[in-house]
Amino acid sequence: MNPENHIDPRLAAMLEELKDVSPRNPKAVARGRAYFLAQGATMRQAVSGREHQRPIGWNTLFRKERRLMNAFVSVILSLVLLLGGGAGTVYAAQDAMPTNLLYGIKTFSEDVRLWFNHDPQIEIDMLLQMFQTRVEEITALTAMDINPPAHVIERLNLHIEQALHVAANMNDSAMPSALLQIRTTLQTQEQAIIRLKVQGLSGTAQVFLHLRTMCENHIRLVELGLTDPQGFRHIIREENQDEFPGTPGPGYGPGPSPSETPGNENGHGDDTHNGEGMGPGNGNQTPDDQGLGPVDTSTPGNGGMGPSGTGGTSQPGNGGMGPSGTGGTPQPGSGGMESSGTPTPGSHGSGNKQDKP
Amino acid sequence: MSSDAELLQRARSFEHQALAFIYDSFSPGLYRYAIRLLGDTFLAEDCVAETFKRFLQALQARKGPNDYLQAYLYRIAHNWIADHYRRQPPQDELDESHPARGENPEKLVSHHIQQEQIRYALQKLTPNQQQVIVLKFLENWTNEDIARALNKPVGAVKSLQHRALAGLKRFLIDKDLA
Repeated sequence: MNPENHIDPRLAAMLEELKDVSPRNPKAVARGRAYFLAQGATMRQAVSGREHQRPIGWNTLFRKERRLMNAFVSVILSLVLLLGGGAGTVYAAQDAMPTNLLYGIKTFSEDVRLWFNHDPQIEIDMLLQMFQTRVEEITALTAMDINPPAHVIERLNLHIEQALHVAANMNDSAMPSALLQIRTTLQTQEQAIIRLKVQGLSGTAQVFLHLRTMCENHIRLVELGLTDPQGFRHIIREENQDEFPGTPGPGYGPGPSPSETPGNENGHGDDTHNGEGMGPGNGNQTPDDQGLGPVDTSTPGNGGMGPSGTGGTSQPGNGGMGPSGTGGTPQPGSGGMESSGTPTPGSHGSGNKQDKP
Repeated sequence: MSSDAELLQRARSFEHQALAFIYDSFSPGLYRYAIRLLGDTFLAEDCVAETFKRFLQALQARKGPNDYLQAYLYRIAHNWIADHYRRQPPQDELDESHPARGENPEKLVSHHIQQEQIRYALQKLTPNQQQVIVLKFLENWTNEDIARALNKPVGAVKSLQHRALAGLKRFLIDKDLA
Protein backbone atom coordinates (compact mmCIF):
# COMPACT_ATOMS: atom_id res chain seq x y z
CA MET A 1 0.00 0.00 0.00
CA ASN A 2 1.14 3.51 -0.70
CA PRO A 3 2.41 4.98 2.60
CA GLU A 4 0.27 8.02 1.94
CA ASN A 5 -2.77 5.81 2.12
CA HIS A 6 -1.76 4.05 5.30
CA ILE A 7 -4.65 3.77 7.67
CA ASP A 8 -5.15 1.85 10.87
CA PRO A 9 -6.85 -1.43 9.86
CA ARG A 10 -9.44 -1.04 12.62
CA LEU A 11 -10.27 2.42 11.30
CA ALA A 12 -10.37 1.10 7.75
CA ALA A 13 -12.82 -1.60 8.82
CA MET A 14 -15.02 1.00 10.47
CA LEU A 15 -15.02 3.23 7.42
CA GLU A 16 -16.04 0.23 5.35
CA GLU A 17 -19.33 0.37 7.24
CA LEU A 18 -20.10 3.68 5.53
CA LYS A 19 -19.48 2.25 2.08
CA ASP A 20 -22.72 0.36 2.35
CA VAL A 21 -25.25 2.83 0.92
CA SER A 22 -28.87 1.86 0.37
CA PRO A 23 -30.01 2.25 -3.27
CA ARG A 24 -31.35 5.62 -4.28
CA ASN A 25 -35.10 5.89 -4.80
CA PRO A 26 -35.66 5.85 -8.60
CA LYS A 27 -38.61 8.22 -8.26
CA ALA A 28 -36.45 10.71 -6.40
CA VAL A 29 -33.81 10.38 -9.12
CA ALA A 30 -36.36 11.01 -11.87
CA ARG A 31 -37.87 13.93 -9.98
CA GLY A 32 -34.48 15.49 -9.29
CA ARG A 33 -33.37 15.03 -12.88
CA ALA A 34 -36.58 16.51 -14.28
CA TYR A 35 -36.35 19.48 -11.91
CA PHE A 36 -32.74 20.13 -12.87
CA LEU A 37 -33.48 19.94 -16.59
CA ALA A 38 -36.51 22.18 -16.19
CA GLN A 39 -34.37 24.76 -14.42
CA GLY A 40 -31.84 24.51 -17.21
CA ALA A 41 -34.55 24.96 -19.82
CA THR A 42 -35.87 28.04 -18.03
CA MET A 43 -32.40 29.53 -17.95
CA ARG A 44 -31.85 28.63 -21.60
CA GLN A 45 -34.75 30.92 -22.52
CA ALA A 46 -33.09 33.80 -20.74
CA VAL A 47 -29.69 33.34 -22.34
CA SER A 48 -29.03 35.74 -25.19
CA GLY A 49 -26.29 33.72 -26.80
CA ARG A 50 -23.01 32.03 -26.18
CA GLU A 51 -20.36 34.19 -24.69
CA HIS A 52 -18.10 34.14 -27.71
CA GLN A 53 -21.04 35.22 -29.88
CA ARG A 54 -21.74 38.33 -27.86
CA PRO A 55 -19.79 41.51 -28.46
CA ILE A 56 -18.34 41.88 -24.98
CA GLY A 57 -14.97 43.05 -23.84
CA TRP A 58 -12.21 44.86 -25.67
CA ASN A 59 -11.14 44.15 -29.18
CA THR A 60 -8.48 45.50 -31.45
CA LEU A 61 -10.72 46.80 -34.20
CA PHE A 62 -13.26 48.85 -32.32
CA ARG A 63 -11.48 49.09 -28.97
CA LYS A 64 -14.55 48.59 -26.84
CA GLU A 65 -17.97 47.09 -26.85
CA ARG A 66 -19.97 50.27 -27.20
CA ARG A 67 -18.32 51.14 -30.49
CA LEU A 68 -18.75 47.61 -31.68
CA MET A 69 -22.43 47.81 -30.88
CA ASN A 70 -22.67 51.11 -32.72
CA ALA A 71 -21.03 49.54 -35.74
CA PHE A 72 -23.33 46.56 -35.48
CA VAL A 73 -26.44 48.70 -35.32
CA SER A 74 -25.17 50.76 -38.26
CA VAL A 75 -24.70 47.67 -40.37
CA ILE A 76 -28.15 46.39 -39.46
CA LEU A 77 -29.73 49.74 -40.27
CA SER A 78 -27.91 49.89 -43.58
CA LEU A 79 -29.09 46.42 -44.49
CA VAL A 80 -32.62 47.30 -43.50
CA LEU A 81 -32.51 50.41 -45.65
CA LEU A 82 -31.01 48.49 -48.54
CA LEU A 83 -33.26 45.50 -48.39
CA GLY A 84 -36.25 47.46 -47.16
CA GLY A 85 -39.75 46.07 -47.31
CA GLY A 86 -40.52 42.68 -45.87
CA ALA A 87 -37.59 41.84 -43.67
CA GLY A 88 -37.46 45.33 -42.23
CA THR A 89 -41.14 45.35 -41.55
CA VAL A 90 -41.00 42.01 -39.78
CA TYR A 91 -38.04 43.20 -37.74
CA ALA A 92 -39.79 46.42 -36.84
CA ALA A 93 -42.95 44.55 -35.96
CA GLN A 94 -41.29 42.59 -33.17
CA ASP A 95 -41.97 45.33 -30.65
CA ALA A 96 -45.45 46.08 -31.92
CA MET A 97 -48.29 46.20 -29.42
CA PRO A 98 -51.73 44.68 -30.08
CA THR A 99 -53.08 48.14 -30.85
CA ASN A 100 -50.43 48.63 -33.50
CA LEU A 101 -50.96 47.91 -37.20
CA LEU A 102 -47.78 45.83 -37.31
CA TYR A 103 -49.01 43.48 -34.60
CA GLY A 104 -50.46 41.06 -37.14
CA ILE A 105 -47.04 40.76 -38.76
CA LYS A 106 -45.49 40.10 -35.39
CA THR A 107 -47.85 37.22 -34.59
CA PHE A 108 -47.56 35.92 -38.12
CA SER A 109 -43.76 35.81 -37.86
CA GLU A 110 -44.11 33.94 -34.55
CA ASP A 111 -46.36 31.41 -36.21
CA VAL A 112 -43.94 30.97 -39.09
CA ARG A 113 -41.02 30.36 -36.72
CA LEU A 114 -43.10 27.82 -34.84
CA TRP A 115 -44.17 26.16 -38.06
CA PHE A 116 -40.62 25.59 -39.24
CA ASN A 117 -39.53 24.06 -35.98
CA HIS A 118 -39.75 20.31 -35.50
CA ASP A 119 -38.02 19.81 -32.16
CA PRO A 120 -40.66 19.41 -29.41
CA GLN A 121 -38.40 20.86 -26.73
CA ILE A 122 -37.62 23.96 -28.79
CA GLU A 123 -41.29 24.23 -29.68
CA ILE A 124 -42.17 24.33 -25.99
CA ASP A 125 -39.46 26.93 -25.40
CA MET A 126 -40.90 29.08 -28.17
CA LEU A 127 -44.49 28.70 -27.03
CA LEU A 128 -43.59 29.63 -23.46
CA GLN A 129 -41.64 32.61 -24.74
CA MET A 130 -44.69 33.70 -26.75
CA PHE A 131 -46.85 33.19 -23.67
CA GLN A 132 -44.59 35.50 -21.70
CA THR A 133 -44.67 38.03 -24.52
CA ARG A 134 -48.49 38.03 -24.47
CA VAL A 135 -48.53 38.60 -20.71
CA GLU A 136 -46.09 41.48 -21.15
CA GLU A 137 -48.30 42.97 -23.86
CA ILE A 138 -51.39 42.70 -21.66
CA THR A 139 -49.46 44.24 -18.79
CA ALA A 140 -48.31 47.13 -20.94
CA LEU A 141 -51.82 47.76 -22.25
CA THR A 142 -53.39 47.71 -18.83
CA ALA A 143 -50.74 50.11 -17.60
CA MET A 144 -52.03 52.49 -20.27
CA ASP A 145 -55.64 51.87 -19.13
CA ILE A 146 -56.41 50.03 -22.34
CA ASN A 147 -58.43 46.85 -22.14
CA PRO A 148 -56.47 44.04 -23.83
CA PRO A 149 -58.19 42.81 -27.00
CA ALA A 150 -59.87 39.43 -26.72
CA HIS A 151 -57.72 37.94 -29.46
CA VAL A 152 -54.57 38.57 -27.42
CA ILE A 153 -55.99 36.71 -24.43
CA GLU A 154 -57.18 33.91 -26.70
CA ARG A 155 -53.75 33.67 -28.24
CA LEU A 156 -52.11 33.58 -24.83
CA ASN A 157 -54.38 30.73 -23.85
CA LEU A 158 -53.63 28.94 -27.10
CA HIS A 159 -49.86 29.15 -26.54
CA ILE A 160 -50.06 27.35 -23.24
CA GLU A 161 -52.52 24.79 -24.54
CA GLN A 162 -50.25 24.05 -27.46
CA ALA A 163 -47.30 23.68 -25.11
CA LEU A 164 -49.30 21.19 -23.02
CA HIS A 165 -50.27 19.34 -26.16
CA VAL A 166 -46.64 19.07 -27.28
CA ALA A 167 -45.66 17.88 -23.80
CA ALA A 168 -48.43 15.26 -23.87
CA ASN A 169 -46.98 13.87 -27.07
CA MET A 170 -43.51 13.47 -25.54
CA ASN A 171 -42.35 10.17 -24.15
CA ASP A 172 -42.43 9.38 -20.44
CA SER A 173 -38.84 10.38 -19.82
CA ALA A 174 -39.05 13.79 -21.53
CA MET A 175 -42.54 14.80 -20.45
CA PRO A 176 -41.90 15.55 -16.74
CA SER A 177 -39.11 17.95 -17.63
CA ALA A 178 -41.32 19.77 -20.13
CA LEU A 179 -44.20 19.92 -17.67
CA LEU A 180 -42.00 21.35 -14.94
CA GLN A 181 -40.80 23.97 -17.38
CA ILE A 182 -44.40 24.87 -18.23
CA ARG A 183 -45.35 24.96 -14.57
CA THR A 184 -42.43 27.24 -13.73
CA THR A 185 -43.46 29.66 -16.48
CA LEU A 186 -47.10 29.60 -15.40
CA GLN A 187 -46.21 30.19 -11.77
CA THR A 188 -43.86 33.03 -12.67
CA GLN A 189 -46.46 34.72 -14.85
CA GLU A 190 -49.17 34.18 -12.27
CA GLN A 191 -47.01 35.89 -9.69
CA ALA A 192 -46.42 38.75 -12.11
CA ILE A 193 -50.18 39.08 -12.61
CA ILE A 194 -50.77 39.04 -8.85
CA ARG A 195 -48.17 41.75 -8.36
CA LEU A 196 -49.82 43.90 -11.00
CA LYS A 197 -53.14 43.51 -9.29
CA VAL A 198 -51.58 44.53 -6.01
CA GLN A 199 -50.26 47.63 -7.68
CA GLY A 200 -53.88 48.53 -8.38
CA LEU A 201 -54.04 49.09 -12.10
CA SER A 202 -57.53 50.19 -12.91
CA GLY A 203 -60.25 48.77 -15.12
CA THR A 204 -58.73 45.37 -15.66
CA ALA A 205 -59.89 43.31 -12.71
CA GLN A 206 -61.85 41.01 -14.96
CA VAL A 207 -58.85 40.39 -17.21
CA PHE A 208 -56.58 39.64 -14.28
CA LEU A 209 -59.11 37.31 -12.76
CA HIS A 210 -59.40 35.48 -16.05
CA LEU A 211 -55.63 35.21 -16.46
CA ARG A 212 -55.10 34.00 -12.90
CA THR A 213 -57.83 31.40 -13.24
CA MET A 214 -56.36 30.26 -16.52
CA CYS A 215 -52.88 29.95 -15.00
CA GLU A 216 -54.22 28.06 -11.98
CA ASN A 217 -56.23 25.66 -14.13
CA HIS A 218 -53.24 24.91 -16.29
CA ILE A 219 -50.97 24.48 -13.28
CA ARG A 220 -53.44 21.91 -11.92
CA LEU A 221 -53.35 20.13 -15.26
CA VAL A 222 -49.56 20.10 -15.19
CA GLU A 223 -49.60 18.71 -11.65
CA LEU A 224 -51.83 15.93 -12.89
CA GLY A 225 -49.39 15.25 -15.70
CA LEU A 226 -46.56 14.91 -13.21
CA THR A 227 -48.44 12.38 -11.11
CA ASP A 228 -50.57 10.63 -13.72
CA PRO A 229 -49.08 11.00 -17.23
CA GLN A 230 -51.67 8.76 -18.87
CA GLY A 231 -54.59 10.61 -17.33
CA PHE A 232 -53.02 13.89 -18.43
CA ARG A 233 -52.61 12.66 -21.99
CA HIS A 234 -56.20 11.48 -22.03
CA ILE A 235 -57.48 14.87 -20.88
CA ILE A 236 -55.35 16.75 -23.39
CA ARG A 237 -56.57 14.54 -26.22
CA GLU A 238 -60.18 15.03 -25.18
CA GLU A 239 -59.74 18.78 -24.94
CA ASN A 240 -58.19 18.81 -28.36
CA GLN A 241 -61.13 16.93 -29.76
CA ASP A 242 -63.50 19.45 -28.21
CA GLU A 243 -61.60 22.52 -29.29
CA PHE A 244 -60.26 21.62 -32.68
CA PRO A 245 -63.05 20.09 -34.70
CA GLY A 246 -62.87 19.03 -38.26
CA THR A 247 -59.71 16.99 -38.33
CA PRO A 248 -59.74 13.29 -38.97
CA GLY A 249 -60.47 10.80 -36.30
CA PRO A 250 -61.73 7.29 -35.90
CA GLY A 251 -65.23 6.58 -37.11
CA TYR A 252 -67.81 5.59 -34.59
CA GLY A 253 -71.42 6.34 -33.77
CA PRO A 254 -74.84 5.09 -34.49
CA GLY A 255 -75.66 4.01 -37.93
CA PRO A 256 -78.83 5.35 -39.44
CA SER A 257 -81.73 3.48 -40.80
CA PRO A 258 -83.09 4.16 -44.24
CA SER A 259 -85.19 7.23 -45.00
CA GLU A 260 -84.47 8.86 -41.72
CA THR A 261 -83.97 12.45 -40.83
CA PRO A 262 -80.74 13.10 -39.04
CA GLY A 263 -80.42 13.33 -35.31
CA ASN A 264 -79.20 15.94 -32.93
CA GLU A 265 -75.98 17.86 -32.99
CA ASN A 266 -74.18 15.45 -30.76
CA GLY A 267 -74.04 12.95 -33.47
CA HIS A 268 -76.67 10.66 -32.03
CA GLY A 269 -79.71 10.47 -34.18
CA ASP A 270 -83.10 10.39 -32.57
CA ASP A 271 -84.19 7.73 -34.90
CA THR A 272 -84.82 4.52 -33.13
CA HIS A 273 -84.00 2.64 -36.25
CA ASN A 274 -80.45 3.71 -36.07
CA GLY A 275 -78.04 1.13 -34.83
CA GLU A 276 -76.07 2.26 -31.83
CA GLY A 277 -72.34 2.05 -31.97
CA MET A 278 -69.93 1.38 -34.71
CA GLY A 279 -71.99 -0.13 -37.45
CA PRO A 280 -72.61 1.49 -40.77
CA GLY A 281 -76.01 2.90 -41.48
CA ASN A 282 -78.23 2.25 -44.40
CA GLY A 283 -78.91 4.67 -47.15
CA ASN A 284 -81.73 7.14 -47.73
CA GLN A 285 -80.92 9.46 -44.90
CA THR A 286 -80.15 13.12 -44.72
CA PRO A 287 -77.85 14.60 -42.12
CA ASP A 288 -78.59 17.96 -40.63
CA ASP A 289 -76.30 20.91 -40.91
CA GLN A 290 -74.27 19.75 -37.95
CA GLY A 291 -73.39 16.74 -39.93
CA LEU A 292 -75.24 14.48 -37.62
CA GLY A 293 -77.81 12.70 -39.56
CA PRO A 294 -77.67 10.31 -42.38
CA VAL A 295 -79.20 10.49 -45.82
CA ASP A 296 -79.57 7.93 -48.42
CA THR A 297 -76.77 9.26 -50.56
CA SER A 298 -74.35 8.60 -47.73
CA THR A 299 -71.87 11.40 -47.90
CA PRO A 300 -70.02 11.94 -44.67
CA GLY A 301 -69.29 15.50 -43.72
CA ASN A 302 -66.20 17.12 -42.36
CA GLY A 303 -65.48 15.69 -39.01
CA GLY A 304 -68.20 13.15 -39.49
CA MET A 305 -68.02 10.39 -36.97
CA GLY A 306 -70.32 7.79 -38.29
CA PRO A 307 -70.18 5.46 -41.17
CA SER A 308 -72.05 6.18 -44.28
CA GLY A 309 -74.98 4.22 -45.45
CA THR A 310 -74.82 1.38 -47.81
CA GLY A 311 -75.61 1.87 -51.39
CA GLY A 312 -75.27 5.62 -51.36
CA THR A 313 -72.62 7.96 -52.63
CA SER A 314 -70.44 8.21 -49.60
CA GLN A 315 -68.13 11.16 -49.26
CA PRO A 316 -65.60 11.42 -46.52
CA GLY A 317 -65.40 14.89 -45.11
CA ASN A 318 -62.48 16.98 -44.05
CA GLY A 319 -61.48 15.45 -40.81
CA GLY A 320 -64.33 13.02 -41.09
CA MET A 321 -64.32 10.48 -38.36
CA GLY A 322 -66.28 7.78 -39.97
CA PRO A 323 -65.68 5.53 -42.88
CA SER A 324 -67.51 6.07 -46.05
CA GLY A 325 -70.38 3.91 -47.04
CA THR A 326 -70.07 0.92 -49.19
CA GLY A 327 -70.44 1.46 -52.82
CA GLY A 328 -70.26 5.21 -52.52
CA THR A 329 -67.98 7.74 -54.08
CA PRO A 330 -66.04 9.55 -51.38
CA GLN A 331 -66.35 13.30 -51.40
CA PRO A 332 -65.29 15.76 -48.79
CA GLY A 333 -67.80 17.39 -46.53
CA SER A 334 -67.44 19.31 -43.35
CA GLY A 335 -68.48 18.92 -39.78
CA GLY A 336 -70.64 15.84 -39.98
CA MET A 337 -70.57 13.65 -36.94
CA GLU A 338 -72.35 10.81 -38.55
CA SER A 339 -71.70 9.96 -42.04
CA SER A 340 -74.51 7.82 -43.18
CA GLY A 341 -76.18 9.73 -45.87
CA THR A 342 -75.10 13.01 -47.39
CA PRO A 343 -74.23 15.34 -44.59
CA THR A 344 -73.97 19.01 -45.18
CA PRO A 345 -71.17 20.92 -43.59
CA GLY A 346 -71.31 21.26 -39.87
CA SER A 347 -69.04 22.35 -37.10
CA HIS A 348 -69.02 19.72 -34.45
CA GLY A 349 -66.80 17.05 -35.81
CA SER A 350 -64.19 15.76 -33.49
CA GLY A 351 -60.60 15.88 -34.47
CA ASN A 352 -57.10 16.26 -33.24
CA LYS A 353 -55.68 19.56 -32.25
CA GLN A 354 -53.43 21.12 -34.79
CA ASP A 355 -49.93 21.48 -33.49
CA LYS A 356 -48.94 24.16 -35.88
CA PRO A 357 -50.49 27.51 -36.10
CA MET B 1 -18.92 13.04 -24.54
CA SER B 2 -15.40 14.40 -24.61
CA SER B 3 -13.57 16.55 -22.09
CA ASP B 4 -15.05 18.49 -19.20
CA ALA B 5 -14.19 21.71 -21.00
CA GLU B 6 -16.30 20.82 -24.02
CA LEU B 7 -19.10 19.57 -21.82
CA LEU B 8 -19.06 22.76 -19.78
CA GLN B 9 -19.08 24.87 -22.91
CA ARG B 10 -22.29 23.17 -23.97
CA ALA B 11 -23.68 23.41 -20.46
CA ARG B 12 -23.12 27.17 -20.52
CA SER B 13 -25.66 27.29 -23.35
CA PHE B 14 -27.96 25.17 -21.14
CA GLU B 15 -28.01 22.53 -23.82
CA HIS B 16 -30.49 19.88 -22.77
CA GLN B 17 -28.35 16.87 -23.66
CA ALA B 18 -25.26 18.24 -21.96
CA LEU B 19 -27.17 18.99 -18.77
CA ALA B 20 -28.78 15.56 -18.81
CA PHE B 21 -25.37 13.95 -19.26
CA ILE B 22 -23.95 15.92 -16.34
CA TYR B 23 -26.82 14.95 -14.07
CA ASP B 24 -26.67 11.28 -15.03
CA SER B 25 -22.89 11.16 -14.63
CA PHE B 26 -22.43 12.94 -11.34
CA SER B 27 -25.65 12.73 -9.34
CA PRO B 28 -25.14 9.09 -8.20
CA GLY B 29 -21.70 9.86 -6.76
CA LEU B 30 -22.88 13.08 -5.17
CA TYR B 31 -25.79 11.24 -3.58
CA ARG B 32 -23.45 8.57 -2.17
CA TYR B 33 -21.18 11.27 -0.86
CA ALA B 34 -24.05 13.14 0.77
CA ILE B 35 -25.71 10.13 2.35
CA ARG B 36 -22.42 8.94 3.81
CA LEU B 37 -21.96 12.24 5.55
CA LEU B 38 -25.58 13.00 6.35
CA GLY B 39 -27.10 9.57 6.89
CA ASP B 40 -30.51 10.77 5.73
CA THR B 41 -31.95 10.04 2.29
CA PHE B 42 -34.13 13.15 2.18
CA LEU B 43 -31.29 15.42 3.21
CA ALA B 44 -29.02 13.72 0.69
CA GLU B 45 -31.55 14.32 -2.10
CA ASP B 46 -31.85 17.96 -0.99
CA CYS B 47 -28.08 18.24 -1.12
CA VAL B 48 -27.91 16.85 -4.66
CA ALA B 49 -30.74 19.08 -5.87
CA GLU B 50 -29.19 22.18 -4.31
CA THR B 51 -25.77 21.30 -5.71
CA PHE B 52 -27.10 21.17 -9.27
CA LYS B 53 -29.18 24.29 -8.72
CA ARG B 54 -26.13 26.24 -7.58
CA PHE B 55 -24.19 24.88 -10.52
CA LEU B 56 -26.83 26.22 -12.94
CA GLN B 57 -26.89 29.55 -11.16
CA ALA B 58 -23.13 29.77 -11.50
CA LEU B 59 -23.39 29.06 -15.22
CA GLN B 60 -26.09 31.67 -15.59
CA ALA B 61 -23.87 34.23 -13.88
CA ARG B 62 -21.09 33.34 -16.35
CA LYS B 63 -19.13 31.83 -13.49
CA GLY B 64 -18.50 28.24 -12.54
CA PRO B 65 -15.69 25.93 -13.54
CA ASN B 66 -13.86 25.76 -16.82
CA ASP B 67 -12.63 22.25 -16.09
CA TYR B 68 -12.73 19.55 -13.42
CA LEU B 69 -16.47 19.62 -13.14
CA GLN B 70 -16.61 16.70 -10.73
CA ALA B 71 -14.35 18.43 -8.24
CA TYR B 72 -16.42 21.59 -8.55
CA LEU B 73 -19.70 19.77 -7.88
CA TYR B 74 -18.30 17.94 -4.85
CA ARG B 75 -17.06 21.25 -3.49
CA ILE B 76 -20.55 22.70 -3.74
CA ALA B 77 -22.05 19.60 -2.14
CA HIS B 78 -19.58 19.72 0.69
CA ASN B 79 -20.20 23.41 1.32
CA TRP B 80 -23.92 22.64 1.51
CA ILE B 81 -23.30 19.86 4.03
CA ALA B 82 -21.01 22.08 6.10
CA ASP B 83 -23.67 24.82 6.07
CA HIS B 84 -26.27 22.28 7.10
CA TYR B 85 -24.27 21.25 10.15
CA ARG B 86 -23.59 24.86 11.02
CA ARG B 87 -27.33 25.52 11.00
CA GLN B 88 -28.15 22.28 12.78
CA PRO B 89 -25.23 20.85 14.78
CA PRO B 90 -25.18 17.07 15.25
CA GLN B 91 -26.80 15.71 18.38
CA ASP B 92 -24.48 14.76 21.20
CA GLU B 93 -26.45 11.64 22.01
CA LEU B 94 -26.57 8.81 19.52
CA ASP B 95 -30.01 7.52 18.74
CA GLU B 96 -30.00 3.78 19.29
CA SER B 97 -33.73 3.21 18.94
CA HIS B 98 -34.00 2.52 15.23
CA PRO B 99 -36.72 0.17 14.11
CA ALA B 100 -35.44 -3.10 12.73
CA ARG B 101 -36.40 -4.30 9.27
CA GLY B 102 -35.66 -7.44 7.38
CA GLU B 103 -34.77 -10.88 8.59
CA ASN B 104 -31.99 -9.99 10.96
CA PRO B 105 -33.05 -6.98 12.98
CA GLU B 106 -30.23 -7.22 15.50
CA LYS B 107 -27.61 -7.08 12.79
CA LEU B 108 -29.39 -4.23 11.06
CA VAL B 109 -29.60 -2.19 14.23
CA SER B 110 -25.98 -2.91 15.07
CA HIS B 111 -24.89 -1.89 11.58
CA HIS B 112 -26.93 1.27 11.73
CA ILE B 113 -25.56 2.24 15.13
CA GLN B 114 -22.02 1.72 13.95
CA GLN B 115 -22.66 3.86 10.90
CA GLU B 116 -24.07 6.60 13.10
CA GLN B 117 -21.03 6.43 15.39
CA ILE B 118 -18.63 6.82 12.47
CA ARG B 119 -20.70 9.64 11.06
CA TYR B 120 -20.75 11.28 14.44
CA ALA B 121 -16.97 10.99 14.65
CA LEU B 122 -16.62 12.40 11.13
CA GLN B 123 -18.71 15.38 12.12
CA LYS B 124 -16.23 16.15 14.86
CA LEU B 125 -13.61 16.77 12.16
CA THR B 126 -13.31 20.00 10.22
CA PRO B 127 -15.26 20.15 6.93
CA ASN B 128 -12.07 19.81 4.88
CA GLN B 129 -10.89 16.83 6.92
CA GLN B 130 -14.28 15.14 6.47
CA GLN B 131 -14.10 15.71 2.74
CA VAL B 132 -10.62 14.23 2.51
CA ILE B 133 -11.62 11.09 4.43
CA VAL B 134 -14.78 10.48 2.43
CA LEU B 135 -13.25 11.19 -0.96
CA LYS B 136 -10.06 9.28 -0.29
CA PHE B 137 -11.21 6.22 1.60
CA LEU B 138 -14.83 5.85 0.53
CA GLU B 139 -14.81 7.27 -3.01
CA ASN B 140 -11.19 6.24 -3.74
CA TRP B 141 -10.15 9.57 -5.21
CA THR B 142 -6.48 10.43 -5.74
CA ASN B 143 -4.81 13.20 -3.75
CA GLU B 144 -4.64 15.30 -6.93
CA ASP B 145 -8.39 15.06 -7.50
CA ILE B 146 -9.10 15.85 -3.87
CA ALA B 147 -6.78 18.83 -4.10
CA ARG B 148 -8.86 20.14 -7.01
CA ALA B 149 -12.11 19.60 -5.14
CA LEU B 150 -10.77 21.43 -2.09
CA ASN B 151 -8.95 24.05 -4.11
CA LYS B 152 -5.81 23.34 -2.12
CA PRO B 153 -2.33 22.05 -2.93
CA VAL B 154 -1.67 18.32 -2.72
CA GLY B 155 0.61 18.83 0.28
CA ALA B 156 -2.24 20.42 2.20
CA VAL B 157 -4.46 17.47 1.36
CA LYS B 158 -1.89 15.05 2.79
CA SER B 159 -1.68 17.12 5.93
CA LEU B 160 -5.47 17.21 6.25
CA GLN B 161 -5.60 13.45 5.77
CA HIS B 162 -3.03 12.84 8.47
CA ARG B 163 -4.83 15.01 11.00
CA ALA B 164 -8.22 13.59 10.05
CA LEU B 165 -7.10 10.00 10.54
CA ALA B 166 -5.55 10.89 13.88
CA GLY B 167 -8.81 12.54 14.93
CA LEU B 168 -10.92 9.59 13.86
CA LYS B 169 -8.65 7.17 15.66
CA ARG B 170 -8.97 9.25 18.79
CA PHE B 171 -12.77 9.41 18.57
CA LEU B 172 -13.43 5.85 17.48
CA ILE B 173 -10.65 3.62 18.77
CA ASP B 174 -8.76 5.25 21.59
CA LYS B 175 -12.07 6.23 23.20
CA ASP B 176 -13.17 2.61 23.27
CA LEU B 177 -9.87 1.51 24.76
CA ALA B 178 -9.98 4.15 27.45
